[in-house]
Amino acid sequence: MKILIADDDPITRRLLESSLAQPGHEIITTHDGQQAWETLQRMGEPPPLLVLDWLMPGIDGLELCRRVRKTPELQLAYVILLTSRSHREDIVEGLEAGADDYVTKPFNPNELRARISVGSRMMKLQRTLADRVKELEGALQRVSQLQGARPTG
Amino acid sequence: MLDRDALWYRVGGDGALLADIIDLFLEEAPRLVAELRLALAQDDKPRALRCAHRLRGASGDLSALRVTALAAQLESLGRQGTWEQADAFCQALDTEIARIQPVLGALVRKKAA
Repeated sequence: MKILIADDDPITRRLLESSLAQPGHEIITTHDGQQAWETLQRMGEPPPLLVLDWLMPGIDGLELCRRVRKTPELQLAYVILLTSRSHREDIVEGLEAGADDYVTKPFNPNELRARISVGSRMMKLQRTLADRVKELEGALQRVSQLQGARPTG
Repeated sequence: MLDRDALWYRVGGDGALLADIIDLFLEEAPRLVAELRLALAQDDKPRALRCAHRLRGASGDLSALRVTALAAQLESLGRQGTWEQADAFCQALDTEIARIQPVLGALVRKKAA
């Protein structure tokens, strides 16, 4: 599963990369909100999981979250905000901007991995559901074609 | 001044990763204090605030408790627009970073040995 990381701190980036490096994960690292946004727009198949730092120069994590939710190809992505703030109002603001979850910095690697696996499970469920809907739509279409082809009278 | 247990936990006992983030910190921390001073001299408050914030984040990742506390205090004062003591904070940050440098260096050497 592809995971995009956006953080302007090289130490946090390094820790994120090593915490999330495991079989089945493909990590795409970006250095700030602008680079993350450009990368997301350029990618044919955007990553289903995003880990975004809240406070970054230029486009911050909140703004990135809002843009992601407004973009059809991205709006289903699972977004985790990294925040060094822990005030309740801030967390509410983050969730309202479209984040699915948040992790407080300095982050605990096990906690981050656990939250990533929640996100990953959600994304897999969502994909299974989408595939099932597509299957059903196909089946329905075949049924109506058959009905149309049935000789009348 | 350094929470070694928290730091080891954060790197999952990975000595190479520890060495990497210590190198990054020793490069990043003095640079951020220098940039902070420059921003203050140029009266660029948003940039000074960003530096204090970054320093807090970077030192937090290293569990460099005193540096984090100083950077957090400066960031919080800066958010309130109180910059009068900023020079003293920069000085204290320099001292604290210089003090923690050999401690972090020894951690890497101990692992390599």
